[in-house]
Amino acid sequence: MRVSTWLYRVSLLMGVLVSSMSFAQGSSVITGNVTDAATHKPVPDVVITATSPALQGEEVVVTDSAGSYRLAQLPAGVYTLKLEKESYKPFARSEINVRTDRTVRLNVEIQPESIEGGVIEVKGTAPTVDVGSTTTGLNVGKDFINNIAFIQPNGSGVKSFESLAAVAPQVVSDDYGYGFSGAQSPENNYLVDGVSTNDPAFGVNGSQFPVEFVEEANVITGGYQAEYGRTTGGVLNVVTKSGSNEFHGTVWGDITPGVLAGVSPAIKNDSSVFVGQNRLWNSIDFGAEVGGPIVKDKLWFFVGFSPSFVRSQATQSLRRFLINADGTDFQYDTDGYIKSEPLAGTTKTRFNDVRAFSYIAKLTYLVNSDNNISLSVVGSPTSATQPYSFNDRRIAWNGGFTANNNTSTVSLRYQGGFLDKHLLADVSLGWFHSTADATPNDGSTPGSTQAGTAYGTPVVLLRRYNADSNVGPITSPYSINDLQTLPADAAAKCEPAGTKSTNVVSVRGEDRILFACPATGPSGSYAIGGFGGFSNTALDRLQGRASLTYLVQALGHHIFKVGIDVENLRYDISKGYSGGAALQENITGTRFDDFRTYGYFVGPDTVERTAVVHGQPTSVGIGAYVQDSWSIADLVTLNAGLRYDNQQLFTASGLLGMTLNNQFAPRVGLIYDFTQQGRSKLFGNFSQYYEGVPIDLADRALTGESTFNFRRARSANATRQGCDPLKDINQATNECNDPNNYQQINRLLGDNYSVNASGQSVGNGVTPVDPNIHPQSSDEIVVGGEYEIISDGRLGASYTKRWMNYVVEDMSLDEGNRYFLSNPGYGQGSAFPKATRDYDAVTVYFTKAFSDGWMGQFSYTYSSLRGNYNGLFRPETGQLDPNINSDFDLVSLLANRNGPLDADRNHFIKVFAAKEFRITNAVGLTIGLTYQGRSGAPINYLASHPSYGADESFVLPRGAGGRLPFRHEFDAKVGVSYRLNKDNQIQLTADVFNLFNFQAVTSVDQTISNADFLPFQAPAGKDPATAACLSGSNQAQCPSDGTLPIKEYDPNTGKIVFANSAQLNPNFKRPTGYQAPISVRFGIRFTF
Amino acid sequence: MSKTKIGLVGLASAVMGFVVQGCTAQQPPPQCDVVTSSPLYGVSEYYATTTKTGDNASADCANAPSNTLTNLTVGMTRYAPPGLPHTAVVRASYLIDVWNGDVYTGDQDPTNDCSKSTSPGKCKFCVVGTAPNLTFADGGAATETLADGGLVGIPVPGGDGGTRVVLTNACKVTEEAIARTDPNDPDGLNLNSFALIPNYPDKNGICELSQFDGGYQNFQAEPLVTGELPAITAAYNWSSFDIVNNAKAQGTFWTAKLEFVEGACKTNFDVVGFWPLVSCATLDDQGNPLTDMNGDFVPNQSACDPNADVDAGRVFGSGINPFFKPNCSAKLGTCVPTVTTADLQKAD
Repeated sequence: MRVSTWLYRVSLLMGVLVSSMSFAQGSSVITGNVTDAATHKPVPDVVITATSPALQGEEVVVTDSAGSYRLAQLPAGVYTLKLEKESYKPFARSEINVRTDRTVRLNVEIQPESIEGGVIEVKGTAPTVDVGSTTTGLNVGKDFINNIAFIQPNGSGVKSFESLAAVAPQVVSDDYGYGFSGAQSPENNYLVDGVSTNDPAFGVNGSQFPVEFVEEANVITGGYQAEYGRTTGGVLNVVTKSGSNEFHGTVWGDITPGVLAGVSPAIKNDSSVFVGQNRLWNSIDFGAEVGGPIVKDKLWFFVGFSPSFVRSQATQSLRRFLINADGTDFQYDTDGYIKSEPLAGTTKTRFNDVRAFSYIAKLTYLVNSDNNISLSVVGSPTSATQPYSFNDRRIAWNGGFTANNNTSTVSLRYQGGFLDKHLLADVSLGWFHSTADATPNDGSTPGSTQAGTAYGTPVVLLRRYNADSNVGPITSPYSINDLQTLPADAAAKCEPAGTKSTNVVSVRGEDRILFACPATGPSGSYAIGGFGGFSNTALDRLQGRASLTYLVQALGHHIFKVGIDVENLRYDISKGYSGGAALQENITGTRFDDFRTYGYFVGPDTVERTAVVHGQPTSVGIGAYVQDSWSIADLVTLNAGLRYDNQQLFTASGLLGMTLNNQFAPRVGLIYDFTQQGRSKLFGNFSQYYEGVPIDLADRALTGESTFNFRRARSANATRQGCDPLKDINQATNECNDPNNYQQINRLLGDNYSVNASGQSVGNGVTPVDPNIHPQSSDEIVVGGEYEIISDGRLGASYTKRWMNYVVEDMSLDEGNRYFLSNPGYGQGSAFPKATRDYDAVTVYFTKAFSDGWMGQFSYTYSSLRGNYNGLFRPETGQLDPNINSDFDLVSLLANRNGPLDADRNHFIKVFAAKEFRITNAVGLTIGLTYQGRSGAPINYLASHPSYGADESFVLPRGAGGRLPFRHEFDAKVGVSYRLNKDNQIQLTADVFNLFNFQAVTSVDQTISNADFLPFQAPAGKDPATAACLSGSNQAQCPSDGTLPIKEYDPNTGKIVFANSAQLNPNFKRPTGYQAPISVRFGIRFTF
Repeated sequence: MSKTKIGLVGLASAVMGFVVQGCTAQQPPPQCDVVTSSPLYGVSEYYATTTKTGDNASADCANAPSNTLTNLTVGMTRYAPPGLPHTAVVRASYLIDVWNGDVYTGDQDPTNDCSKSTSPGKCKFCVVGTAPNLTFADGGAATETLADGGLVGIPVPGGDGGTRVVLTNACKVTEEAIARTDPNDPDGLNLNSFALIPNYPDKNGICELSQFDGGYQNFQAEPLVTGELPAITAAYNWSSFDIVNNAKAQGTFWTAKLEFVEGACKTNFDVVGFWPLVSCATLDDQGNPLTDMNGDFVPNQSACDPNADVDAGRVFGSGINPFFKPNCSAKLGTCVPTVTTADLQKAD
């Protein structure tokens, strides 16, 4: 089908663009020159036919006047090329291994017929160096997936494709996935069959499905061209399997029995009498995938499904703290922790189940030799069930609920070739859809007003406990007998219901109330009542992409591309609190206050409650690019491109909230193949990247949240009934909403000028945007080289340097009274230091594809990641609020924040190797080994910030606490296969993770104090920890009375004083997390 | 032209239109908003300086306490019910002070015999009788001889450890705070002025309040021991109430014209309101503001500094918007902006 000339011209003129983002199939290239073996001159008009099991039909091209050919839009696979021309001997070359997004160069010399001999067939592997690009990263294909143990199941038991990213160098795991090249995981672009599956609200990967559905994954960590945008990290591009002309498939089953899983060391704590434990009971997944022809060479199908189940056992038991014989203090162990003993008969056990059902269906249709269409849908509905709560004060609904999460990705793609394949078109439409909600077992729904139901009853947080006389009167906690019905023996060992104690003792420097079985205390509140906070979401991404590629010859070969993509994000969110309110007891037990109740004032002290807050923030983004890949004499390739992006974010009510304009991103790269045979390259690349902002910002900052607060007196008197939902939970919606019970707090505090006497509006307003804000971007330089040292094996080295340009964050210039969105260090944010994140990495790697019975992947990366900006989430707290986390809120928060960032791993070694042994013709043994060794993360000294609270103040410069230990991990996979016949094979496997059960510490307590320590500046040249008297001993500046040279804010006096060592947290640097213990997964696989 | 071609051209045009619009789109203005005070959360009211610009020259103006107004404490809030017009509420101090009894007082003991000395604070001790037979109304015995008998005074600790009576006309100042009442508004709901506030500022970044309602009281006469405090109407008449609402100042700075009515006196003021209210008078060791010989406060400029300075003993900045360039007023003892609306409207 030839496109009309008119349309072709219009397309080029208007720049109607067709993106060549790498897609499901058809993004690889084989290119090269054909020369006469005798004269070494280029041979034009040679007919080249490419065939492959991965290809529908065959691809035919003809060499041009310079003898060059280019086979484009090829699906990844193994190819055979046949070259034919009159007066030349036919030539064939097979086993050309082509990976996704790769360009393989194959130069051929054909022999004139005058020379003796028949068809020349060359076996052996073709060169594997990708001479068309400057990207860093690697491809992970089926060989890797089948032979190496590295996919650990996620919480829903799905061996999801995201783990594939871990294999590449310069990739470090973080709280939300895998970060590339110093960036964090939410900054990456995740593509499945060309559709972006980033969670539209938070940027993390939103899709999951088993690796059995994956044909290949391309992990791109840097150096990528203008066709990829909206990412300041990298790209994980996944291609799902397609059908072929033959029926092939797999049926599999895996089980990870919990009984074989190791146990992590216990982490000591004495903050609560509730002892909880979660352990894996078992994890099972099984499934089938099959593909084949519906009409040979015309219509193929691929389908797959895979249910997975994870059962974990949650246990809660109670213990009591031991009090010494004379009742004056606790009993302590040698570490100063309170001794405790378990209470018999209080252990409760339940099973929490997570079920997922992953599916895929795909059709590939060859319209004719020049045009094809494919349609795919992949998804994974998941439900996680908690059958009931251990807390028996959760009224009639018993705390049981099911959390549902459903993701699906639909992709429709068209590829076409015109003008003898000199003009290629690629058009696709995609839809990513994700929903999340929670359904209690009683079937109630958000907004319900029915008393006694999960959603109809407010949650009430009991917090009565105060051991600090500066804050208020010493107040006793509740006894566990006040809130739970225990077996008689256990009940007798605890304080009877109604007991109150105000004896205060010091536990490792912190005041605690002497109480054997406190139900409330420093560890948190005790919830009674309804479901509490809920947030039901539906996320959508609609995408359209198009690209046109035009081959032109002018002083060499040009591959000229233009592309456009349009993206619409929607975040439909319904949130609120069950029963329209969440109440919280104060620490002295005299009141119940609104914890976070949605609603708005309509008059003085008069509110309208909002049981369900609903909004739909959206974003529209458009990207376009032009790019040329100019190949000069097969020696040097110059890639030059320019990408343009624009994004507009809209509030929940549909109004424009923020516009991020003029994101012009140049990408320039140079590749030099000194062998001129596709076996080497030296390359350099400069790229600028822009962030695609997730729309959580549009919900939280650009829309705002309207909540209010009233205080209700608990006790009754002549003028009020009092509000006591502990006596009767129904009071939470009745008496507690009676204005007679509201304390006129503003007037009581002597304020006659507040409009409201009792109530207070406490929600976040809309955050305004600096009119001169710049979109967030970063720059990158990559240089490197590769050389094919053995057949199918490449040795390479690269150096990557990345740094941030502008960062978008919310800031306040008036101590948190008013915030605005701007760029730290620029414009309205000039008072703030610039946000910096500097990444330098040198990587040495060797990679060999599976051939001759073995494969290997080795990389060593030395890197440095320093600055004051981690990225879209805060590792210190796990807060994921892209572009509006608390990092840059106040200037005073930023002292001492420069240093090694959380994802800094100076040394990272990754070794993956697999070898196949043939025992007999039918029986084979495969052994795969993995070793990963990495430096530990930096340790910080954190304290409380006077206005922002715990762990927000860096007392010493970032990273001054040294490093976590180096962590080693060995994984192994053993597979025994039995070949039934040519096409059918059965395999038994065992994957062992953490083979030697190393228990390296992976996190430690970084809180040096809960007091308001102020940032400390050490004298130049001195170690900060020693200068601050926090390490070392007998320092001259460290008096024997424990006074520290660190200043502290005393909230009681408002003055600055010197801190004291008695305020230090004795738990500092003690472990809070360990490496995941050994676990084993058994599998069986039937391949046909 | 085939339908496909038309469709493609239309699509391409829409895309190009979006691209062009995206290149030139401006950031949206912030919503009109005010700060709602909360002593509970340590959020202060607004503070406003008032400059008298004229009055109606009635006799009452010479005597009206409001005549010498120099400042107001102003509480504000905003109601934004979805889908309905938004309302701003202005609650300014003087009227409330009158309502609370902090302005008008009545002499409850005109005969100076302390028979009515029941008001707390003002006249705890009333000396009765003439020297040397002085006794105190609370039962204590006098230990000093008055220089001239018959005058009343208040005992204070003497330098010699004893007690001496300071000659005052204390019982003349046995003035009881007289809270005023509007019989038609016993709960004082009309103390609040309600006005319409737009959702978004105009193109100059100004949110103008309009259609004021409330902000008045028709106080009834209050009987005194002799005579009465006469009935009086007090009211705020606000106009040109312009709140700056742009990226630099989000509802924290406003100017207005105020006509204050107090009885027959009408006084006009130019008012400049800002948030937050920050005191900056230097304090003595007991926490009381120091004053100089002229009765002005001793200013502490660093209290107004928006930046924290730990070395200078300031963990927090003042919380004042640095674009206000605040200065400590010796007259008022509070931090006051030194910028105008026009300064805040300028782009950086």
